[in-house]
Amino acid sequence: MHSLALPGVGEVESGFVVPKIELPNVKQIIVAHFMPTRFGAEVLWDELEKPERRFLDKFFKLGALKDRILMMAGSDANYLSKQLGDLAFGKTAYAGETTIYCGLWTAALDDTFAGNTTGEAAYTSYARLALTNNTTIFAAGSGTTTYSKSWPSDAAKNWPTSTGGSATVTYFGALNGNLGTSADKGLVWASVTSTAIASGDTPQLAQNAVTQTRD
Amino acid sequence: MAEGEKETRKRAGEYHGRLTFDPENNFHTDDDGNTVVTEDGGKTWRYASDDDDSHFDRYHQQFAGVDGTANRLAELSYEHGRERAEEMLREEQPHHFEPQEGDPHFAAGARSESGVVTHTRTTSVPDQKAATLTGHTDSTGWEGADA
Repeated sequence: MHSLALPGVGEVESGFVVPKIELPNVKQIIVAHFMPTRFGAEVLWDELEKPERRFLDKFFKLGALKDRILMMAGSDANYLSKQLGDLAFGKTAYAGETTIYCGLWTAALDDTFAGNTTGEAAYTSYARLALTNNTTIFAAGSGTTTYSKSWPSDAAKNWPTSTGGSATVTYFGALNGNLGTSADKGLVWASVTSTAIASGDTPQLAQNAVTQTRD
Repeated sequence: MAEGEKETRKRAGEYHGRLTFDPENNFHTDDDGNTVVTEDGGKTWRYASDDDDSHFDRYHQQFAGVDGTANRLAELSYEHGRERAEEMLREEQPHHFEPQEGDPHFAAGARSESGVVTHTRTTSVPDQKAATLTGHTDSTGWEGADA
């Protein structure tokens, strides 16, 4: 048994040590640093020995690290969080939306976003994408410890082709309406790879491009 | 009519109003699901007839993929490890982490509810607006955070 001293964690026991083996005339294989995540730890939890579990427990409780691990560029919006929370506890009816409208933004979104949030794409012919809310487009996901659901499950979906102007898209948001006012409630949002849309370009959401995870 | 299927009524003439886009047929639609088209690159719109080509068929030249930065982070993590991937993504897609200067939501030093510095300010509080738009007769306004 060997021990390992880690800053902020203290001395941690390790069950085994792999010696460095040098082979002549063989290119060095560069292996990425092991960075445990909560998801990974949950998947492996049953397979881990007690000292390893204790190590991960301490690891995840590091203040600065916690902020970094929990950081994400996408989330349920406030409206959806409330609807789901009240449905599960209190049985306040929420039947889901008939149509889900997907928009593109050139400015940051957060959990408060709604249909009137500034920065929505405004290239000529832009309109929100109307997705019928059914299990063809939003098929059931998978996973027990972490439930993961990807959509659009049936095929890629196109926004209108730009016929003029331009926009550099950086955020994606799904809403329950298309009025362009605060009456359109935000459902989910995510930051997207910065994408310039010019005349003739058709923004496209690939099949299963959006993955939502809940644990 | 099958579940989720849209009822489409045929209309004719000019259209003025808000547009939606139906990815199943690649036509714009009005609020009721009637298809509308433009023949002058978006200056004017009219209701579509049966022999009109879709907007996609008229104007599409190339696709521009809309992909989450979280996917990009996963790709980079696979090749370079999580720590290096975050550094690379910070250079490549800095908006993944926080709004950038010039973004209306940018506010240097602003913190989230949990106290983490996010440089983000909220430009709209939907509940505040809803309190003035709602039909509730006893609506007295919003007592939450300022806009």
